[in-house]
Amino acid sequence: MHLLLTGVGGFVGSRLARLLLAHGERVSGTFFEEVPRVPGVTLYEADLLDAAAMAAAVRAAAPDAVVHLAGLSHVGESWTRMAEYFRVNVLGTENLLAAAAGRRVVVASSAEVYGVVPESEQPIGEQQRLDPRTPYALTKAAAERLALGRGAVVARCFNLVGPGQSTRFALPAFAAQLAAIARGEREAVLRVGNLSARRDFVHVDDGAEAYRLLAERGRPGEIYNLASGRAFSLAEALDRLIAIAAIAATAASAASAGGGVPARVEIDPERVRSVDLPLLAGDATRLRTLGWEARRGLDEALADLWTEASGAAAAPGDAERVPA
Amino acid sequence: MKTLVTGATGFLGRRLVAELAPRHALRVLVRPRGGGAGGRGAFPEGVEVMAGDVADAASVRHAMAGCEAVVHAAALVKILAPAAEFDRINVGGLENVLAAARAEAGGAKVIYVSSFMALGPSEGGPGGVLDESAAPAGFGEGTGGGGRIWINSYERTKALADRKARRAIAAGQDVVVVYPGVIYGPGEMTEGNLVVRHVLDLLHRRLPALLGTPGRRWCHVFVDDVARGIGLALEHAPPGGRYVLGGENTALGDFYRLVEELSGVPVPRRRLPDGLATTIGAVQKAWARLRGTTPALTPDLVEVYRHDWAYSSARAAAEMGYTFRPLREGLAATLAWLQETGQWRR
Repeated sequence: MHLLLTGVGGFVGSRLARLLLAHGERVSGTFFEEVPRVPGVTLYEADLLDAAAMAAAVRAAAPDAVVHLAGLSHVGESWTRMAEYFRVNVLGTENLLAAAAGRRVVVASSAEVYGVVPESEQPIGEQQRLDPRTPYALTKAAAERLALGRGAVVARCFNLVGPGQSTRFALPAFAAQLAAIARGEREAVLRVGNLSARRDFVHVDDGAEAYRLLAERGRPGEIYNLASGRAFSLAEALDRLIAIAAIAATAASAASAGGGVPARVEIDPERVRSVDLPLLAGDATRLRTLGWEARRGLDEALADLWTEASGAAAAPGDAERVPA
Repeated sequence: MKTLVTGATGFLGRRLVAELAPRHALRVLVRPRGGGAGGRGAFPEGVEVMAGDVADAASVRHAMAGCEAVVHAAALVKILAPAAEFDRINVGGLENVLAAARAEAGGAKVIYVSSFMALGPSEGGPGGVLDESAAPAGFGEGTGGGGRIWINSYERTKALADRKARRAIAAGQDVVVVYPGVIYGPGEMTEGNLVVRHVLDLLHRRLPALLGTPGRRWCHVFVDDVARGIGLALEHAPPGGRYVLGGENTALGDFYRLVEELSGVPVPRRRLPDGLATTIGAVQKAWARLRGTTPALTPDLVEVYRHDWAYSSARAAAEMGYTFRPLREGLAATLAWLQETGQWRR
């Protein structure tokens, strides 16, 4: 199956491309301005906001299906760059949908569209009423409706996490701070935001598997939660990450001094978001009927984040070579 | 024809892609992030982009998969860079392209974009002009030894790569080599567009004196003529063909006079003596090395200006119908472009 990915150089896109290539599939992608580091992918230069260019790219690639991952994805930033978020996430999605008319399309949405959901109604099913509370959530809710109207498959993604994720997001940021502490580059204090929020974390590679399945078998016009069904508070996740880092550091530094990574945790008001949804956990029963399951737990995602941050492995995609 | 183009984001490469895109299914090999595409105008619609690097054999093989031909225009064209980098990219890059082309079922045709520099300075040639038959021998770099010494790493590695291409031809590989003259014209203001960068210095009166011996003749060629010539080579040249893609051979003094006439900007009457230029170049080079910048003048650039680089494109004209525009026409088009893009106000 030949897939065209928008946002192929991004966090999910690059992992999905790698997964597909490993399965011997043909992968195409679009990029804008900067050529992404995705060996083995045939790329087409097209701005999401340029409808004609998007149409030309889809025509040239002639894929069996399109997975639309490109977009702006930071909730906090969506308050300060609102117009841009609406342009790229809403109008950009419409351009992509028009360009891919007549083909199978999967559009990436977000659990943020659910907003505040009473704990008694969690884990959240796809039929839940939407209550978007942030500009980001509003753009995703709008894009979803446009996509469903055109018969696309919508993936409502809970919190994907794993290597390759920008350190603008909480867990990769924690991992990067811990790694800097382990290297002795900074004092043993972790600066964090509000850690009470509970989230449903899914390993990015499980997310990539889900997108592959949805591209192949998702029902047109259907919404699928991409979730594990379990929620962890950021505080819990951080504790586990610190434990993983400490174990790794102890194992690595039997000889060297330093004494591991344990760090004091400090709340940094700058990192506390303006709106926080206390709990988001998803019910992925529908996705599981397609044969999907979350095979990797939070610990595996955290271990992978630590491995990347501590430099034990090259950053994903970096030193990678093309399967010849 | 499904064709891979390397060096597609360079000064020549951008124009080359524009020239070939309407007639061929193009794929371009581009270095990811920081590599060069950097948002300076999109590739034409339908052009496939593959992330990779000519110095990385696996990425070249991958990009070549399914292509019937490759135009190898990637090269390190820099005033200042470590010698090993020139080898890795200019020689290693060609080796990777040749190997990948051989690995394709039936073999992919290779159009290798060499350089006038690979043919050597022309003052020793008949009438001070050389053609494809020239094969310079040189050694060392910068100092010592008898015979001719390579002027710089660029000349050395382009000459070495040319030998590799000729050897591949002798071994029966379908390779065509083109030798562009001194390329100038509208486009990316990379270090490969040395001539127009120099012209801009003249137009902005940043030069107190002229460089080079007025009588030295250079083969200035308009960038679009080279792009068209490469298209002809891709479509018509027989295996093993080697062609100079040059322009008008013009004395440097006449070139400067033409710039003055077309622009209305008086060029300096004084000439910078070579010895002084070399000294200034050495100082600039040392300074640039410290600061990590690009020097305007280096001793080897002064050396380039001391030679004739005049070549005949007669073979390309006879065998492929290659033509080039007069320098006057090309320079006028370049000045108009500099004005349109706001780089120069008349």
